[in-house]
Amino acid sequence: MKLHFTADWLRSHIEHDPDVDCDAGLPLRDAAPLGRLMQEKSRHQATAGQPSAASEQKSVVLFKLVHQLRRKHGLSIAQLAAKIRVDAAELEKVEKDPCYVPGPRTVHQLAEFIGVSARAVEQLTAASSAQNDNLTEAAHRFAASSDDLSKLSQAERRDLNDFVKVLASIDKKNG
Amino acid sequence: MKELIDRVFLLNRATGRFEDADLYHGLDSTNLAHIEGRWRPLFELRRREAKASLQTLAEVNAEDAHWEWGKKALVALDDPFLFDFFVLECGGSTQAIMMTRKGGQDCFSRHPEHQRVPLIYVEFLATAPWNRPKLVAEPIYKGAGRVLVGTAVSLSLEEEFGGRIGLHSLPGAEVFYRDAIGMTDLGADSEGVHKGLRYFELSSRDAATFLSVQH
Repeated sequence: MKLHFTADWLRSHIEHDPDVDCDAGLPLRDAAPLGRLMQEKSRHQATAGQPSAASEQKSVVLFKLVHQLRRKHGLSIAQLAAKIRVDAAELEKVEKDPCYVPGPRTVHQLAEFIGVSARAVEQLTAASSAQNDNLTEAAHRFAASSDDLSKLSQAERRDLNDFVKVLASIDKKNG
Repeated sequence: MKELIDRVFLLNRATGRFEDADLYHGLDSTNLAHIEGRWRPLFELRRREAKASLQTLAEVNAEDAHWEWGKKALVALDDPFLFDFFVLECGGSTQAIMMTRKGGQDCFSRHPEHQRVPLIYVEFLATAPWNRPKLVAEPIYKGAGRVLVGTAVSLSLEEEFGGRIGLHSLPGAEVFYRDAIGMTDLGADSEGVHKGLRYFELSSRDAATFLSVQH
């Protein structure tokens, strides 16, 4: 895209413009809805309108991970939200809407609670374009495991622990 | 995820000097992290300070009600081909972000010179809280609004919309759009997401003037 103004034009106007606010439209306060729109945009740009199965799979894994963690620790959504200091409504969206992309702070707080890098959890969001074969394979296994609401069975606990180990192996120092 | 459009600049109010700034088409997770980790805490701090000093939230432009409505409107958007993001980075941080739409609701002119012709609608233009004169005592960078409005007009020309753009000004920014940019004030919306906000439009003729006039 080409800009239709020159550097001289910009310089002279910035110097002479009144020193006032210039915000318009929706008063942006947080990044939550932008993540979803960014994901939609990149998905369409990458696949020319074809939905990305990989992105959808990632979202399902994240929402399942949060759900299983709650079961493991016996926490309600409100209790987990309070424990990791995030908005309960956002956590609820993560668990109920597989397409929802949580904000960076929520990703960071979740990662801290699990004990893995934020980068690893970010790779489970549909907005992530990162590809990690080891994680993808582990995510497929994890997504296929049971998800009833009772206390975690021994097998579910093992699946969850194995998956967290894979997450923990991802680039922790860069998280 | 995002592509550099051009290198522009912003005026650092503290030093009185222009600094290079990068204008991008699109945004990435770094920009989202800046909004969440740098913008949001300052908004929240300012909101608490305003309450403590008995200022109204409107006085510091820290009202959240419109954003709660706005979130719902953004969630409802379902055609990624129609919207574009632009971000302005300077001094290692995201200084401003703009989202535009080129089709659908709000993308038709209300201007008496050419009613119903298509335009670029600025869904939002948001500057970092530390750049807002109404929000902080010593704002840092000046010029983000000028750069992004110029970008929206450029996009409108590229889309063959004649430079026409429309937007709803937030309280306190009306003077910028009316006097500095030269947009036409078409009055406040009486209903919908932008209820109470004044709608401004840059006509094709005004767009030509906007780009040609130099101080």
